[in-house]
Order: sequence, then structure tokens, then C-alpha cells
Amino acid sequence: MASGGGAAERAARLIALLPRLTRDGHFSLEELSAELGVGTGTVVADLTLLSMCGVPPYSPDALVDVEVDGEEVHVRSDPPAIESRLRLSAREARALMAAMESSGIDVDASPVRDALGGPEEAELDTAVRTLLMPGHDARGAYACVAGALERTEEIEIRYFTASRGETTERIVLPLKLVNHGGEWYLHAFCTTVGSERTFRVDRIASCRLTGERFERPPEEDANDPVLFDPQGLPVAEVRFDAGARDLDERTWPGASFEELPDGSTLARIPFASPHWLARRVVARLGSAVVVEPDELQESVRSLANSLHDAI
Amino acid sequence: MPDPTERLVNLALFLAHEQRPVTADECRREVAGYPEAQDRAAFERMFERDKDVLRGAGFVIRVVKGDDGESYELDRDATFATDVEIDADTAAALSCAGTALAADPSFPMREDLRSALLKLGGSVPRAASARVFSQLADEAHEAQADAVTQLTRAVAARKTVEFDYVNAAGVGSHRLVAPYGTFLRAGRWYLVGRDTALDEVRVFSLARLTGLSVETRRPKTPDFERPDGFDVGSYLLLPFQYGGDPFEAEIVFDPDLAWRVPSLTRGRGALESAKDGLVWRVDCRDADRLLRWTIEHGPGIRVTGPAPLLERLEHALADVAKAHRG
Repeated sequence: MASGGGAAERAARLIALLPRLTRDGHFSLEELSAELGVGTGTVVADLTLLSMCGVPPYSPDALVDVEVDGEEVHVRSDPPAIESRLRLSAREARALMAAMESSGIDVDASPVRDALGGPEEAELDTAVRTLLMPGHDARGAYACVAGALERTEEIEIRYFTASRGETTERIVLPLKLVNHGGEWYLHAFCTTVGSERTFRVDRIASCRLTGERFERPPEEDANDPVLFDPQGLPVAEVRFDAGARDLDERTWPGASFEELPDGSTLARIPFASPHWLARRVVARLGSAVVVEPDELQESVRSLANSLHDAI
Repeated sequence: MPDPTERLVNLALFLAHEQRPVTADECRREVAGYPEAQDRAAFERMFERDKDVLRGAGFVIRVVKGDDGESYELDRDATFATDVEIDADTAAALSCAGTALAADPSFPMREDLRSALLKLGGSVPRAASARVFSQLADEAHEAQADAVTQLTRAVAARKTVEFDYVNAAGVGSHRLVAPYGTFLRAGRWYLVGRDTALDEVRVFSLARLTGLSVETRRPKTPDFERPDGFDVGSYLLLPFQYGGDPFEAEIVFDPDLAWRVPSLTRGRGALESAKDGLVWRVDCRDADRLLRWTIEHGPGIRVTGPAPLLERLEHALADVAKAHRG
């Protein structure tokens, strides 16, 4: 959790907070800590400082009337001079649009877009392109998953498995949404197979809320999501030609690599699905050869032949 | 000395409270926190910095020129906003994505995002942080994010940047670059800019860049002009669109894959409906990467042209089958 930043950053945070501190408002320190992105100690220091701010003559009725009482925060009167929320600055709007884009929302078609415009709209329009994410999610899969996650509600999904080209229907209990490298993954308990599974959100063909609620298991450490656990999986040995590209952990999760005297590389690759690995080996167009197991060699040969026949 | 944050908040409240233009001297006199013993030049510098901070926080401060010099007035319509109506789906999506990205050290706009979500208040509830997670960059998270933050500011101010760079071949060199924009692709941040020594627009991976510094001389004077209509998004290409000479490839998506097409094509190329599916004509610079891409993304994606590409695929698949005869 951040410590609170410099004076400018801290002032921006407190000015953004001011319109929320309306008469008879109640917050928990924990809630404000999460919203402000700082520790509860910093929140207390922030609010203490705010309670000393105001307008001339800085009499008690001209100061921000906020008080911390244990774990609770109480606001007794509206803040002086601030009557409604502040518009977003160009930088804030840009950041919000990036978050919207990352979740597949069509920013230009969203009503939120109207709230973002301001005097620096021209700057906004060029700056927002500094962050581009996956294409628009016209199916609303991300929003459906996100809503279900928040409400602890079961969803019925149609999921496309690229390695087999199959679309399956499943009832899943959403547990976590994780972004890795710009792609979103849903970690969920799949009732169809009876265990936890990870699904790429852009491969969810459709998502429907079932209306059934479920009890969420105890929450784990948010900083340690395990999307791919190679433990206990079979391991294939695949030899890559010298000079083969993308031989790294990010391309082959859980794999280890050994450079051989002839310059080629022997990769030991854990795999959950032989279809997945066979497809990836075939995609290397001959620069990768399965050494073992034999069954995987057969899968690769069979897939290569069927693709060849389909040309 | 009073806390500078207290002075900044007091100045914000003073400007919001006064429904008229106020002079710098009035602010100095009325706003609690400006040191009394400060000389004139130091105060003016501090006041300029303070106004910049408030502008960064969303305050729109108009400069009013009169016979007695400049005064300052808050543009209330441009500063304060009405409540936003956000539908439940958008709120849920923003809640999860926003909470995750605001806590991601590799998301360079996390402070601005946090502030934006705070301003939107109850319209976008915060997701439980244990249920959402983001890691945009797959290595050097904070270093890449810090570099993007510096570069984004340099782009906005049109200031040149310097850094040491090791290219894909492992060769190091010092670069002086006019930065045009940054983008994220597959877990890595990139800079697009004109390399002043080569006089060419180049793409640099931030993971290979060290010792970044932004030109600090004449901070309010641009060092360069970005070309009109420049769009950094045009550099965010599909994996097979980087490399050698371009050619047009033709791909057909089976009809039942239509729902995947937007996320697969990312707005690149041209799509046309045909009897047997959706035909996609797209620029390509790396034939093997394109073939790899079509195979890895699963059944239902077929290469149909040009002929040399099909020949390459045919021979390669025959080689793969031969190499796996056991």
C-alpha cells in the first residue's frame, strides 16, 4: 500500500476526496484506505490535515468538518465552497479510459465518455492512445463476469477451447479476475468438471447470470494468483532448432530450457492438454520436434496431416 | 513552515469560495500557508507551482487580465461536474478493471486512475482487492511504469529524451529521441519516437532501456513537433506485422467463429462476408509468424492466399509430419 506521495499528489488526492465529505457522511477507515490507495495511518493523517483546512477567516464553521473516531470517519457538515464532484483532469480521464478499454468497454459509445470531456479534450484524444488494450467486448463477457464476481453469482458460459476447437457450456463460480500482459483471465470453480479452472475472458463466447448465489471461499493473497500450476503435470521434451525464437518462460509457462552442443535447445514443457502442446509444436512449422512422449508425437503428426489435407 | 499540502487545499477552497477573480496578492494575504517572510520572486514561483498542482487536480483556473495586472478565477462549469449515470454492467467492469489496475505497479497511470475513481465516487464501487489482480508488464514492473510516466510527460511537453539502449541483437548504444507515444503489447511497454541520429521513427522496448532522462532545459519550449495525425496505435500491430517486406494475406474465419473475430483481428485489415465465412485481408511482413498465428489460434482459421504462403504452409506441415514419424 502506498505511503501517501508528495505534497502535490497528496493535495490532489484530498481535493478529489472533498466533494465526498458531505454532511452526515460516514465512512470506515478501511473503505477510505482502499479508495485512496494508501494505508489507514495515511488516511488518518490526511483527514487530520483536512480538518485544519478551510476558507478565511478559518473559524470552526469555515473548516472542513471531518473527524476520525476509532475505525470510523464522521462528517458533520458540507465542505466549504465545494458543492459537487470535480470533473476529471485530462490525465485522470485518460487513465479511466485506459481502464475502460482494458475491460472491453467501447469508450466512445459509453455514457461515461460524456463525463470525461473537458477543456483539454483534444489532449485527451491523442494521449489516450498511449495505452491500447484488447478490442471491444461486444458480447459483454467481461462485464458479466465482473458483475457475477462482485455479487457472488453463478454464471453459465460458453467457452471456446482453441487447442481443440471445441465450445463447451459450463456453470462456473467466479473467484478472481486477473490481468496478465493485457489479457484478462477468469479463475473460477467449474461445476462441470468439479475443480478450479482458468478461462481467458476473450474466449468466453457468451455469459449469462443464473441468479444462483454461492458462498465464496476464504480469500487468498491478492498478490499471488496462480493461473498456471505445473505441479503434477506430465512433461514433454521438445527440441527446438538453433535460433528458434521465443524460447522463454512467458511463451512456455513452467518450462525449462537446455542448450545442446549443436546449438539446438531441449525444452521440458509441462502440459495439461496434449492438444494445446501439439498445436503449438505444429505452429513452429518444423523448427520444433517432440522427443517424447510418443503419444504427443502422434498427436503432432495427426494434426499436421489434417491441416495439410485441409489446404 | 506549514504543510505545503495544507496550503494547496486552502488555495483550492479559497478559489472555489470566491465567486470573482482574485489577485495573487489576495491569495498570498488570505490563504493560510503562504510564508509571510518570503520574498516576492519566491512567492511568485510558489504560486505558479501551486496553480499547476490545482490544474493537475482538475481545477480550471482562468487568467483575467485587467488594468492592475492579472487575476485568477475558477471556471466553475469546467471544474465541477454533474453526477454521472453509469449502468450496472459498466460499473461492474470498471470496478474490477479499475481496482486491479490502480494497484498494478506496472500500470503507469495508477495514481491518476485512483484519483479518477475517487472523483466518480459511489458511481463506481471498489472491487475487493483480493478478487482482482493485474500485472500488465511481465518484468521490471515499476521501472517500466516509471519510464512510461516520464515518457508520457515528455510526449505532452514535446521534450527530447536520452537513454542507453540494447537492441535485440545485444548491441548497446546511446540514443537521443523525440518521443511520440508509448504502447503496451503482450506484457511489454514500447516507445515510438524519432531517433535524432538516424532521423527515423523507431520502436524501442522499455525493458531494454536504461538511464532515461528528459531534456530539462527550457521546459515550456517544445524541442520538436510531432507529425500531424500521428497515432501511436498504428504501431500496435499483430505479431506477424513486424519484419520484412509487406504483402497482403487472405485468411478465412469459419462462420461460427464470427464472435471471436474482433478480438483476433484487433481492428486490423479489412473484413468481408463470404459464403464460407468471413474473409480477412491483412498486411503481413512475416509469413512464418502469420502461419504460426493461424495454427495457434485454433481450428476454423484458414490461410487462403497468396499462393506462395500456401506453398510454404503445405511444405512445412509435410516436414512436421515427417519429423514426427517416430
